[in-house]
Amino acid sequence: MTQTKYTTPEQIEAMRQEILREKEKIAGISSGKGSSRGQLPLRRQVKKIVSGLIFSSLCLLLVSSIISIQISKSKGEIPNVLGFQLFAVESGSMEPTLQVGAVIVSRKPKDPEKLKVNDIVTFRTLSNALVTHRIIEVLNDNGSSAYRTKGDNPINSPDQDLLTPNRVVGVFFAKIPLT
Amino acid sequence: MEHVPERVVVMEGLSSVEHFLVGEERPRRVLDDITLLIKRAEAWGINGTSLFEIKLLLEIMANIRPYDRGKCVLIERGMMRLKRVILKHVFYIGSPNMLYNNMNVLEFLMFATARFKINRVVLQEQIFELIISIGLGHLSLMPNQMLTKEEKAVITLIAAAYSDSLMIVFNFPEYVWDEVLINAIAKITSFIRERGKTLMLATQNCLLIEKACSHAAIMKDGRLIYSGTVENFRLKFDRVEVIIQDKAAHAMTEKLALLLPDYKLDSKDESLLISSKDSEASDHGAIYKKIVESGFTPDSMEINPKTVQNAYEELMRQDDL
Repeated sequence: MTQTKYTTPEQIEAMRQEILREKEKIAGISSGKGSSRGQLPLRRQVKKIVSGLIFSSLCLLLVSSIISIQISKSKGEIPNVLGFQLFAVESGSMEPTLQVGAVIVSRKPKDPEKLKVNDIVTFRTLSNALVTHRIIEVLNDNGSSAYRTKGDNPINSPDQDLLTPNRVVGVFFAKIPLT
Repeated sequence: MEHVPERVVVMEGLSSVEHFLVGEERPRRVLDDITLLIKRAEAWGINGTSLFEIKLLLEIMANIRPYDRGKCVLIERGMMRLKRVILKHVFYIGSPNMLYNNMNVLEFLMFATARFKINRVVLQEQIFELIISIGLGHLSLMPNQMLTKEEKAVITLIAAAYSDSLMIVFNFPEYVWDEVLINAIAKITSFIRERGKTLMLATQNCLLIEKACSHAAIMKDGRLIYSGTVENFRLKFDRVEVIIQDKAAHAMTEKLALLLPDYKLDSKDESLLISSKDSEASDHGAIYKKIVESGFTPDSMEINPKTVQNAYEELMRQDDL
């Protein structure tokens, strides 16, 4: 057993050759030998630059979002990031579509005059409360639109007041899962 | 610019907490009144009569044991007497089990140096060639679990040499070193010193101190009886100037003593050791001439190369007196 215990000169030489091969491979890559191998560091560099850019723009977005949210809050406005707003559902009027406690993302509509039936909208009531309900009817009153809204909950009846486009805050975009 | 401390270990009047209880005598401190200054890029061999004393001194030096009196400053940081903090500047090797058994020697060293941001292949080549150049090529690809405890200690020393710790403490005074490992340690020590690190090496092997160390500290009965360069130690305490080998050496002692009154003659087996009585440099030519003139032609006559072993024995003899 003692004879096989130690590293033999042959094993040392084999290891040397292996290291040499690895060195040559690296040297070949860095000097641009071989079309596919030569591109590898460049591709890596591009990947590094792109991921760096993505990372820094995400950081920038995060910082600017925090700043804009704080500014909106201080002015008493609804905070939004890139036109998107977050709302928490506080009543069961939209069940089973939106459960109490769900967080939804709404988008500012491009044209509040052109909303359609079945759009879920967040709007201010005449008493200035924020409500999210579904449009069930689009009405035309002297050339200007008005909407009839209703919560999805079957026990709800349609809202008494018609919704005018100037009170629309956002149109439902998505529900944040697990909320 | 990073400040590099010049004084690595400063001990002043240091005494240990531990005591020896010998018979009915009063207990004595294992270490007492130790004063030592170790500078950067030096290699110190710590030797002495008691393994426990040597081991304890290096443990205090690595700040893993408390001390009772005196002052101990490690790498310009004062060490509190009772609070033990392992400094990142200190690489302490006190156990051979610091290697992973599921790796071979080269793999372990690559693992130990994994955080260096240099090309892995180049580093692997450097380490592999270093292992071969220090004469341990036969261990380079051997599984760690098959190494002896001495070999494991030496491999850990290589890892320490590559670390960024300024101070390496190699605390195995009880280990028995063969010539291959002594030469390997000597070469690793040169590498360590080139990198500006300091090595403290506990050993009772005088040859190891002679080959690997720039400085030596000798302890006896808990006290430091010598600290300084190995060169000075050899020249100061190994007083044997000439060694004569002959069957009739013993019979010639008295006659030669008359011819060489300034020298001390000791016969040992078939050898006659001619030592100077003081530390002055001797005239080897004059000794040779007087011996030849006496009509005595010995089988061999050589100038003593002055060894740490002889110096150590002489120092111990002097201390006993």
